Amino acid sequence: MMKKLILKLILTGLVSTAMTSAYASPEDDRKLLTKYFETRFPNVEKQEFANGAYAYDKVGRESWEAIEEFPPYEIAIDDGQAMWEKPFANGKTYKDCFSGGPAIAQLFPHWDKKQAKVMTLALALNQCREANGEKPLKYKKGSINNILAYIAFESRGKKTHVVIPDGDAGALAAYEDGKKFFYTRRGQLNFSCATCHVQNAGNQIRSEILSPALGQSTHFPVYRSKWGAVGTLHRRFTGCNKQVRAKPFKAQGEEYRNLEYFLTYMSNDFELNGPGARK
Amino acid sequence: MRIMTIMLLSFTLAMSNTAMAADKDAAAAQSAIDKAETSRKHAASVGGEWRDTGKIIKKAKAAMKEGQFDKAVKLARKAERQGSYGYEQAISQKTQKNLTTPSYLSGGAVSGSVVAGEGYITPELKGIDVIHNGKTVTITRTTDKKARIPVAFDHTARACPPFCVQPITVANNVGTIGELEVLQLLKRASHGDNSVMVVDSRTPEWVQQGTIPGSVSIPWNKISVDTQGTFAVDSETDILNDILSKDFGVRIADGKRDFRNAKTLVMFCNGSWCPQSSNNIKTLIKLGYPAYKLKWYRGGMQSWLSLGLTTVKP
Repeated sequence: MMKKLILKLILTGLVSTAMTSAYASPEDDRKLLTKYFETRFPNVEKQEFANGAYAYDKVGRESWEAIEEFPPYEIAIDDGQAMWEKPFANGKTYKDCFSGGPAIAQLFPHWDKKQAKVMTLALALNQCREANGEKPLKYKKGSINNILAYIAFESRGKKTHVVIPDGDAGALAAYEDGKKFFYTRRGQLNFSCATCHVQNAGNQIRSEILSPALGQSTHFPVYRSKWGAVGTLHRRFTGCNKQVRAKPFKAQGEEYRNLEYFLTYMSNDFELNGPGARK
Repeated sequence: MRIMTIMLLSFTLAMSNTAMAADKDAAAAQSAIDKAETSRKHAASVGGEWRDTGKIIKKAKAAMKEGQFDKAVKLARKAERQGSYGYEQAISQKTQKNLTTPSYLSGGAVSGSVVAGEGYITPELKGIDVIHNGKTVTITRTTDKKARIPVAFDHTARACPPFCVQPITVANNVGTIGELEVLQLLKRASHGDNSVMVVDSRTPEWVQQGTIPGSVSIPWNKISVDTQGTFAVDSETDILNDILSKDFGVRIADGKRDFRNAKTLVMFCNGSWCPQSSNNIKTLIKLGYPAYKLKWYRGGMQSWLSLGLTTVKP
């Protein structure tokens, strides 16, 4: 296993050296982004980026730590546990779909070869419900956040581990698509995701300090004080797009799922720390 | 009786005139809304729809229902513009080279390994590719140590007038720009952004000796108007209107000029002692060209050549 891994690393190393100018592998992308943040914030420990802007916003961090003493997402975790345990009308439970559950957040998103799409946890949960004759849950607000919060909580400490299967052109295309989305400027304000969360991470936008793209995917679902509720990653995507005055895309549509694939890949090796609390 | 009939008749006519005018306004509003909707869908088809475009169209429809046709047209046009901007934005992003490897990413990450040196324009920029007459030309700086400013530009005595030193600002709201900004705009123009054009205002003999790659030659004397703002000869007006509509994107209908889709122009001539591009800019403003769509590269060819930047012969 180890030998194989080393060989693979060497091979990818060779390939990427030979092709540096023509093509950057996902691993090259991740290293470049990591290096960027390490250079930009030399005094921030790497895992700290998983705490978003609180990695470098001292004042914000104080109130955040105070909030975390009595986390506002606790009720969601409890309700989520009840959902996880309560059998469907047909007597089955989520466990029948996700045998390794509930600590399964680190397995998502992944490339689903059969369905030829990026499978996110939210989508998988709804597919499980529908397969068992239950109505799917809404993807932005509402009770989907409870079950996601429970699974996230149970998965804490596991490491983000997104895989782009070797030689699978579909998976790579989805990743590349997500990467393009991330760097594409859109909306009336002409911002890309990267404009704020890479180029200007740590800078202020009006009164807020912008969070880093690195480690950004680990804390979802998130309780936001602004929302007064726990919300999904795709709800946050929607909000970001609206803020740059672009028409948001559909939650769990292809665009956002591919973006999630790319963004989460960038956070590989980061420990999961959801559900999170943010302003 | 006859008088009554005439009165009745004229009354009916007046009524139908008003009704016809209202119909016409309603049709105009509907057509503007349809255009806006098409434009919005066009943007959405490439993932470039803006947040508020749909809402603005809704407002336009509501205004139309209440009979506020002018308001409806105004709103619909705004939405139509947003649609076309969103579309162009998405396309220009799709065709942008290095989209996913912005310079800040590698600039911050591989500090020390930026090998700026000979031939670099800025520490991060070695050259840009532009399209000149359908061919790709790379603009960079010369590395030839023996390179000198060409003879046509190496002397300093020039008679004023006409070769008087130009101010830094040529007109209100017209931005004066330098080489890096010109390069940015050239890049946009060469990557499919049709809303930008870099214009060489010099006469053809000068252009023959070399010009900025990616620029379009439009001799200054084709845009000049006399003190009355008119031409003596109709054919000259035709040439001007031709340039405005075919090159600059101005819509001309019923003798009126519509500058809403006019391009952003970068004008330059031989140098900071050359009045041609500044005169053209003033003329265009007089004609109604929006000042914010005009940029002036004051340094012109003199400055371009003295920096050793690439030129091209047409």
